[in-house]
Amino acid sequence: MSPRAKERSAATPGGPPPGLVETRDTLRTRAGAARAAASARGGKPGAKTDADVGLPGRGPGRPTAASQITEFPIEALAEAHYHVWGLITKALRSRWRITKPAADEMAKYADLVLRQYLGPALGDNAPLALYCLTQVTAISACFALREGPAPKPDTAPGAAPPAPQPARTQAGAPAPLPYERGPLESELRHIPPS
Amino acid sequence: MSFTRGIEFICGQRGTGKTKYLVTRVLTQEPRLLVYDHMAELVGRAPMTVTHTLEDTIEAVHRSPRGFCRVCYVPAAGASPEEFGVVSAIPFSVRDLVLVVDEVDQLAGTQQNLPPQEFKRLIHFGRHFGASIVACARRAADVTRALTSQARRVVVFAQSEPADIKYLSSLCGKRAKEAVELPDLSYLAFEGRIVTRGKVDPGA
Repeated sequence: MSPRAKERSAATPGGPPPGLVETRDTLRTRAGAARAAASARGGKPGAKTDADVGLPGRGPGRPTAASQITEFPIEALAEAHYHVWGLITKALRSRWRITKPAADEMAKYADLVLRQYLGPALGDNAPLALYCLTQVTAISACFALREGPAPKPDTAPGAAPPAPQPARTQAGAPAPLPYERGPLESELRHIPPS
Repeated sequence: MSFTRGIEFICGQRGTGKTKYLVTRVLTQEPRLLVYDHMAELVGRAPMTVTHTLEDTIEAVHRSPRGFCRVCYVPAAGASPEEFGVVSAIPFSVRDLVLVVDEVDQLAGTQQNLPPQEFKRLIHFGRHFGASIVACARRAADVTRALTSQARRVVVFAQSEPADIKYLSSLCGKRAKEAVELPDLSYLAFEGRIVTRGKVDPGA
Protein backbone atom coordinates (compact mmCIF):
# COMPACT_ATOMS: atom_id res chain seq x y z
CA MET A 1 0.00 0.00 0.00
CA SER A 2 1.40 3.38 -0.94
CA PRO A 3 1.98 5.98 1.75
CA ARG A 4 -0.77 8.11 0.26
CA ALA A 5 -3.20 5.19 0.32
CA LYS A 6 -2.22 4.42 3.92
CA GLU A 7 -2.89 8.00 4.86
CA ARG A 8 -6.24 7.91 3.11
CA SER A 9 -7.27 4.68 4.78
CA ALA A 10 -6.23 5.98 8.18
CA ALA A 11 -8.50 8.97 7.84
CA THR A 12 -11.81 8.44 9.57
CA PRO A 13 -14.97 8.95 7.55
CA GLY A 14 -16.06 12.53 7.92
CA GLY A 15 -12.81 13.40 9.67
CA PRO A 16 -10.19 15.88 8.62
CA PRO A 17 -8.95 15.55 5.06
CA PRO A 18 -5.59 13.78 4.71
CA GLY A 19 -2.59 15.95 4.05
CA LEU A 20 -3.75 18.81 6.23
CA VAL A 21 -2.92 17.35 9.62
CA GLU A 22 0.05 18.94 11.37
CA THR A 23 2.03 17.43 14.22
CA ARG A 24 3.96 19.08 16.98
CA ASP A 25 7.24 18.13 15.32
CA THR A 26 6.36 19.50 11.90
CA LEU A 27 5.16 22.70 13.53
CA ARG A 28 8.40 23.08 15.45
CA THR A 29 10.40 22.57 12.27
CA ARG A 30 8.34 25.18 10.51
CA ALA A 31 8.74 27.53 13.46
CA GLY A 32 12.51 27.42 13.06
CA ALA A 33 12.22 28.07 9.34
CA ALA A 34 9.80 30.93 9.92
CA ARG A 35 12.14 32.56 12.40
CA ALA A 36 15.03 32.25 9.96
CA ALA A 37 12.94 33.78 7.19
CA ALA A 38 11.78 36.62 9.43
CA SER A 39 15.32 37.44 10.57
CA ALA A 40 16.54 37.27 6.95
CA ARG A 41 14.00 39.96 6.14
CA GLY A 42 15.49 42.15 8.85
CA GLY A 43 13.30 41.35 11.81
CA LYS A 44 14.45 42.38 15.25
CA PRO A 45 13.98 39.35 17.51
CA GLY A 46 13.91 40.17 21.16
CA ALA A 47 13.76 43.91 20.60
CA LYS A 48 10.72 44.40 22.79
CA THR A 49 10.69 44.59 26.54
CA ASP A 50 7.99 43.37 28.85
CA ALA A 51 6.90 46.94 29.33
CA ASP A 52 6.55 47.25 25.56
CA VAL A 53 4.27 44.28 25.35
CA GLY A 54 2.24 45.37 28.33
CA LEU A 55 3.42 42.83 30.85
CA PRO A 56 3.54 43.93 34.46
CA GLY A 57 6.32 43.37 36.91
CA ARG A 58 9.41 44.20 34.91
CA GLY A 59 10.87 47.57 34.36
CA PRO A 60 11.48 49.21 31.01
CA GLY A 61 14.66 48.35 29.21
CA ARG A 62 14.81 44.82 30.50
CA PRO A 63 14.49 42.23 27.73
CA THR A 64 11.34 40.23 27.79
CA ALA A 65 11.45 36.68 29.09
CA ALA A 66 10.85 35.36 25.62
CA SER A 67 11.76 31.76 26.26
CA GLN A 68 9.68 31.30 29.37
CA ILE A 69 6.28 29.75 29.23
CA THR A 70 4.02 31.02 31.91
CA GLU A 71 1.93 27.95 32.50
CA PHE A 72 -1.68 28.56 33.22
CA PRO A 73 -1.69 26.80 36.58
CA ILE A 74 -5.05 25.10 36.36
CA GLU A 75 -4.27 22.39 38.88
CA ALA A 76 -2.53 24.84 41.18
CA LEU A 77 -5.43 27.21 40.89
CA ALA A 78 -7.86 24.47 41.80
CA GLU A 79 -5.70 23.42 44.73
CA ALA A 80 -5.24 26.96 46.01
CA HIS A 81 -8.92 27.56 45.58
CA TYR A 82 -9.58 24.47 47.65
CA HIS A 83 -7.20 25.61 50.39
CA VAL A 84 -8.46 29.17 50.47
CA TRP A 85 -12.08 28.16 50.59
CA GLY A 86 -11.16 25.57 53.20
CA LEU A 87 -9.98 28.41 55.35
CA ILE A 88 -13.13 30.39 54.82
CA THR A 89 -15.24 27.36 55.59
CA LYS A 90 -13.24 26.85 58.74
CA ALA A 91 -13.88 30.42 59.75
CA LEU A 92 -17.56 30.03 59.03
CA ARG A 93 -17.77 26.83 61.04
CA SER A 94 -16.27 28.50 64.03
CA ARG A 95 -18.81 31.32 63.60
CA TRP A 96 -16.09 33.93 63.67
CA ARG A 97 -14.99 32.83 67.09
CA ILE A 98 -11.36 32.71 66.09
CA THR A 99 -8.68 34.40 68.08
CA LYS A 100 -6.45 37.08 66.64
CA PRO A 101 -3.29 34.93 66.75
CA ALA A 102 -5.17 32.15 65.01
CA ALA A 103 -6.40 34.60 62.41
CA ASP A 104 -2.87 35.80 61.84
CA GLU A 105 -1.72 32.22 61.53
CA MET A 106 -4.39 31.47 58.96
CA ALA A 107 -3.52 34.62 57.06
CA LYS A 108 0.11 33.54 56.96
CA TYR A 109 -0.94 30.14 55.74
CA ALA A 110 -3.13 31.64 53.05
CA ASP A 111 -0.24 33.85 52.00
CA LEU A 112 2.02 30.80 51.83
CA VAL A 113 -0.48 28.90 49.73
CA LEU A 114 -0.86 31.77 47.34
CA ARG A 115 2.87 32.35 47.04
CA GLN A 116 3.61 28.68 46.57
CA TYR A 117 0.89 27.82 44.11
CA LEU A 118 0.09 31.02 42.36
CA GLY A 119 3.32 32.96 42.74
CA PRO A 120 4.48 32.11 39.21
CA ALA A 121 1.24 33.48 37.86
CA LEU A 122 1.69 36.89 39.40
CA GLY A 123 4.30 37.82 36.85
CA ASP A 124 2.63 37.47 33.53
CA ASN A 125 -0.93 36.56 34.29
CA ALA A 126 -2.28 39.63 35.97
CA PRO A 127 -5.91 38.43 35.90
CA LEU A 128 -4.93 35.40 37.90
CA ALA A 129 -3.15 37.60 40.37
CA LEU A 130 -6.30 39.64 40.70
CA TYR A 131 -8.23 36.46 41.25
CA CYS A 132 -5.83 35.61 44.07
CA LEU A 133 -6.30 39.01 45.55
CA THR A 134 -10.05 38.64 45.60
CA GLN A 135 -9.65 35.38 47.45
CA VAL A 136 -7.27 36.94 49.93
CA THR A 137 -9.55 39.90 50.33
CA ALA A 138 -12.42 37.58 51.10
CA ILE A 139 -10.37 35.95 53.83
CA SER A 140 -9.21 39.28 55.13
CA ALA A 141 -12.80 40.37 55.35
CA CYS A 142 -13.49 37.29 57.44
CA PHE A 143 -10.62 38.18 59.73
CA ALA A 144 -11.64 41.80 59.90
CA LEU A 145 -15.00 40.77 61.28
CA ARG A 146 -13.43 39.25 64.29
CA GLU A 147 -10.62 41.11 66.00
CA GLY A 148 -10.26 39.01 69.07
CA PRO A 149 -11.60 36.05 71.01
CA ALA A 150 -15.12 36.16 72.20
CA PRO A 151 -14.73 37.10 75.88
CA LYS A 152 -16.51 35.06 78.46
CA PRO A 153 -19.08 36.92 80.53
CA ASP A 154 -17.23 38.38 83.41
CA THR A 155 -19.19 39.25 86.47
CA ALA A 156 -16.25 40.67 88.35
CA PRO A 157 -16.71 44.29 89.37
CA GLY A 158 -15.02 46.76 87.06
CA ALA A 159 -14.71 44.25 84.24
CA ALA A 160 -14.84 45.53 80.67
CA PRO A 161 -18.14 45.04 78.88
CA PRO A 162 -18.22 42.12 76.45
CA ALA A 163 -17.05 42.86 72.94
CA PRO A 164 -19.87 43.40 70.43
CA GLN A 165 -20.73 40.37 68.36
CA PRO A 166 -21.01 40.52 64.56
CA ALA A 167 -24.46 41.19 63.24
CA ARG A 168 -26.49 38.08 62.58
CA THR A 169 -29.51 37.35 60.52
CA GLN A 170 -32.69 36.03 62.00
CA ALA A 171 -31.71 32.49 61.15
CA GLY A 172 -28.58 32.89 63.21
CA ALA A 173 -26.20 32.95 60.28
CA PRO A 174 -23.57 35.66 60.10
CA ALA A 175 -24.48 38.78 58.18
CA PRO A 176 -23.04 39.25 54.67
CA LEU A 177 -19.39 40.13 54.62
CA PRO A 178 -18.46 43.74 54.16
CA TYR A 179 -15.81 44.29 51.48
CA GLU A 180 -12.65 45.47 53.12
CA ARG A 181 -9.10 45.70 51.95
CA GLY A 182 -7.17 43.12 53.86
CA PRO A 183 -3.62 43.56 55.03
CA LEU A 184 -2.42 40.89 52.64
CA GLU A 185 -3.59 42.65 49.55
CA SER A 186 -1.07 45.46 49.73
CA GLU A 187 1.60 42.96 50.63
CA LEU A 188 0.82 40.74 47.68
CA ARG A 189 1.15 43.59 45.25
CA HIS A 190 4.87 43.63 45.94
CA ILE A 191 5.57 39.98 45.37
CA PRO A 192 8.19 39.88 42.64
CA PRO A 193 7.52 37.55 39.71
CA SER A 194 9.37 34.31 40.17
CA MET B 1 -16.92 24.46 21.71
CA SER B 2 -16.52 23.07 18.23
CA PHE B 3 -17.24 24.93 15.02
CA THR B 4 -20.12 26.84 16.51
CA ARG B 5 -18.48 30.20 15.98
CA GLY B 6 -17.21 29.57 12.46
CA ILE B 7 -15.54 32.65 11.06
CA GLU B 8 -16.37 35.95 12.71
CA PHE B 9 -15.12 39.24 11.36
CA ILE B 10 -15.19 42.47 13.35
CA CYS B 11 -14.52 45.88 11.84
CA GLY B 12 -14.83 49.49 12.86
CA GLN B 13 -12.93 52.71 13.26
CA ARG B 14 -10.36 52.95 16.01
CA GLY B 15 -11.74 53.51 19.47
CA THR B 16 -15.24 52.32 18.63
CA GLY B 17 -15.17 49.21 20.81
CA LYS B 18 -13.64 46.41 18.76
CA THR B 19 -11.18 45.34 21.42
CA LYS B 20 -13.80 45.55 24.16
CA TYR B 21 -16.06 43.34 22.05
CA LEU B 22 -13.20 40.91 21.55
CA VAL B 23 -12.57 40.74 25.28
CA THR B 24 -16.17 40.47 26.45
CA ARG B 25 -17.62 38.27 23.69
CA VAL B 26 -14.68 36.09 22.73
CA LEU B 27 -11.71 36.05 25.09
CA THR B 28 -13.76 35.55 28.22
CA GLN B 29 -16.25 33.17 26.58
CA GLU B 30 -14.24 30.65 24.57
CA PRO B 31 -12.60 27.84 26.56
CA ARG B 32 -10.11 26.98 23.80
CA LEU B 33 -8.44 29.83 22.03
CA LEU B 34 -5.13 30.83 20.53
CA VAL B 35 -4.57 34.57 20.22
CA TYR B 36 -2.11 36.11 17.78
CA ASP B 37 -1.57 39.47 19.43
CA HIS B 38 1.21 41.22 17.57
CA MET B 39 0.10 44.60 18.93
CA ALA B 40 0.18 43.28 22.53
CA GLU B 41 -3.21 44.87 23.15
CA LEU B 42 -4.97 41.86 24.60
CA VAL B 43 -2.37 40.80 27.16
CA GLY B 44 -3.80 40.98 30.63
CA ARG B 45 -7.38 41.46 29.43
CA ALA B 46 -8.32 37.81 30.03
CA PRO B 47 -6.65 34.86 31.75
CA MET B 48 -4.26 33.50 29.13
CA THR B 49 -0.84 31.95 28.97
CA VAL B 50 1.40 34.54 27.32
CA THR B 51 4.18 33.26 25.07
CA HIS B 52 6.78 35.09 23.02
CA THR B 53 8.22 32.38 20.79
CA LEU B 54 6.59 29.99 18.36
CA GLU B 55 8.08 26.95 20.05
CA ASP B 56 6.61 27.99 23.38
CA THR B 57 3.28 28.63 21.73
CA ILE B 58 3.19 25.19 20.13
CA GLU B 59 4.15 23.58 23.43
CA ALA B 60 1.60 25.56 25.39
CA VAL B 61 -1.21 24.59 23.01
CA HIS B 62 -0.24 20.92 22.97
CA ARG B 63 0.20 20.73 26.71
CA SER B 64 -3.16 22.27 27.44
CA PRO B 65 -5.91 20.00 28.72
CA ARG B 66 -8.44 18.79 26.20
CA GLY B 67 -11.22 21.15 27.06
CA PHE B 68 -9.22 24.17 28.06
CA CYS B 69 -6.56 26.03 26.10
CA ARG B 70 -5.88 29.72 26.44
CA VAL B 71 -2.68 30.84 24.81
CA CYS B 72 -1.75 34.35 23.72
CA TYR B 73 1.25 34.65 21.40
CA VAL B 74 2.90 38.06 21.46
CA PRO B 75 5.72 37.91 18.90
CA ALA B 76 8.76 39.61 20.37
CA ALA B 77 9.80 40.87 16.94
CA GLY B 78 6.37 42.13 15.92
CA ALA B 79 4.18 40.79 13.13
CA SER B 80 5.75 38.53 10.54
CA PRO B 81 3.91 36.65 7.78
CA GLU B 82 6.08 33.58 8.21
CA GLU B 83 5.30 33.29 11.90
CA PHE B 84 1.65 34.01 11.30
CA GLY B 85 1.68 31.14 8.82
CA VAL B 86 2.95 28.75 11.48
CA VAL B 87 0.40 30.03 14.00
CA SER B 88 -2.33 29.45 11.41
CA ALA B 89 -1.15 25.85 11.06
CA ILE B 90 -1.43 25.11 14.79
CA PRO B 91 -5.22 24.46 14.67
CA PHE B 92 -4.45 21.65 12.20
CA SER B 93 -2.49 19.85 14.90
CA VAL B 94 -5.15 19.99 17.62
CA ARG B 95 -8.92 20.00 17.49
CA ASP B 96 -11.44 22.67 18.43
CA LEU B 97 -9.40 25.82 18.62
CA VAL B 98 -10.51 29.39 18.06
CA LEU B 99 -7.80 31.52 16.42
CA VAL B 100 -8.16 35.17 17.38
CA VAL B 101 -6.30 37.73 15.28
CA ASP B 102 -6.35 41.43 16.03
CA GLU B 103 -5.52 43.90 13.24
CA VAL B 104 -5.76 41.12 10.69
CA ASP B 105 -5.32 43.55 7.78
CA GLN B 106 -1.62 43.70 8.66
CA LEU B 107 -1.32 39.95 8.20
CA ALA B 108 -3.95 39.07 5.61
CA GLY B 109 -4.45 42.14 3.47
CA THR B 110 -5.56 42.70 -0.08
CA GLN B 111 -2.81 44.74 -1.74
CA GLN B 112 0.03 44.41 0.75
CA ASN B 113 0.63 41.83 3.47
CA LEU B 114 -1.07 39.06 1.51
CA PRO B 115 -2.29 36.18 3.67
CA PRO B 116 0.03 33.21 4.11
CA GLN B 117 -1.05 29.94 2.53
CA GLU B 118 -1.70 28.34 5.92
CA PHE B 119 -4.17 31.04 6.86
CA LYS B 120 -6.07 30.47 3.61
CA ARG B 121 -6.12 26.75 4.36
CA LEU B 122 -7.47 27.49 7.80
CA ILE B 123 -10.23 29.63 6.33
CA HIS B 124 -11.28 26.97 3.85
CA PHE B 125 -10.61 23.70 5.65
CA GLY B 126 -10.43 24.66 9.32
CA ARG B 127 -13.95 23.42 9.96
CA HIS B 128 -12.76 19.84 9.49
CA PHE B 129 -10.64 20.38 12.58
CA GLY B 130 -13.28 22.23 14.54
CA ALA B 131 -11.28 25.44 14.10
CA SER B 132 -12.88 28.85 14.21
CA ILE B 133 -11.45 32.26 13.39
CA VAL B 134 -12.23 35.59 14.98
CA ALA B 135 -10.53 38.48 13.20
CA CYS B 136 -10.52 42.21 13.78
CA ALA B 137 -9.63 45.10 11.48
CA ARG B 138 -10.38 48.78 11.10
CA ARG B 139 -11.44 48.63 7.45
CA ALA B 140 -13.12 45.60 5.94
CA ALA B 141 -11.84 46.53 2.49
CA ASP B 142 -8.26 46.10 3.64
CA VAL B 143 -8.79 42.46 4.62
CA THR B 144 -8.47 39.58 2.20
CA ARG B 145 -11.78 38.69 0.62
CA ALA B 146 -11.05 35.03 1.32
CA LEU B 147 -11.75 35.79 4.99
CA THR B 148 -14.62 38.26 4.72
CA SER B 149 -16.49 36.19 2.13
CA GLN B 150 -16.46 33.13 4.41
CA ALA B 151 -17.42 35.00 7.59
CA ARG B 152 -20.54 33.56 9.12
CA ARG B 153 -20.93 36.60 11.33
CA VAL B 154 -19.79 40.15 10.56
CA VAL B 155 -19.80 42.69 13.37
CA VAL B 156 -19.64 46.31 12.26
CA PHE B 157 -18.81 49.17 14.59
CA ALA B 158 -18.99 52.82 13.57
CA GLN B 159 -17.68 53.66 10.10
CA SER B 160 -17.68 56.99 8.32
CA GLU B 161 -15.72 56.57 5.10
CA PRO B 162 -18.20 56.29 2.19
CA ALA B 163 -16.00 53.77 0.41
CA ASP B 164 -16.01 51.55 3.50
CA ILE B 165 -19.79 51.78 3.80
CA LYS B 166 -20.13 50.88 0.14
CA TYR B 167 -17.85 47.92 0.57
CA LEU B 168 -19.72 46.74 3.65
CA SER B 169 -23.02 47.10 1.78
CA SER B 170 -21.66 44.78 -0.90
CA LEU B 171 -20.62 42.35 1.84
CA CYS B 172 -23.55 42.50 4.26
CA GLY B 173 -26.42 44.25 2.54
CA LYS B 174 -28.07 47.65 2.60
CA ARG B 175 -28.38 47.88 6.34
CA ALA B 176 -24.61 48.34 6.53
CA LYS B 177 -25.34 52.01 5.81
CA GLU B 178 -26.61 52.31 9.37
CA ALA B 179 -23.01 51.98 10.54
CA VAL B 180 -22.57 55.72 9.92
CA GLU B 181 -24.96 56.53 12.74
CA LEU B 182 -23.63 54.06 15.27
CA PRO B 183 -22.40 55.61 18.53
CA ASP B 184 -19.24 54.30 20.14
CA LEU B 185 -19.47 50.78 21.59
CA SER B 186 -22.58 50.02 19.53
CA TYR B 187 -22.47 47.57 16.68
CA LEU B 188 -24.46 45.88 13.97
CA ALA B 189 -24.13 42.10 13.73
CA PHE B 190 -24.88 40.47 10.39
CA GLU B 191 -25.57 36.74 10.33
CA GLY B 192 -26.96 35.84 6.97
CA ARG B 193 -30.14 37.83 6.62
CA ILE B 194 -30.48 38.45 10.32
CA VAL B 195 -29.21 41.83 11.47
CA THR B 196 -29.07 42.69 15.16
CA ARG B 197 -27.94 45.74 17.03
CA GLY B 198 -25.84 45.40 20.14
CA LYS B 199 -23.79 47.35 22.62
CA VAL B 200 -20.57 46.46 24.35
CA ASP B 201 -20.37 46.90 28.09
CA PRO B 202 -18.27 50.06 28.59
CA GLY B 203 -16.98 48.78 31.90
CA ALA B 204 -15.25 45.80 30.32
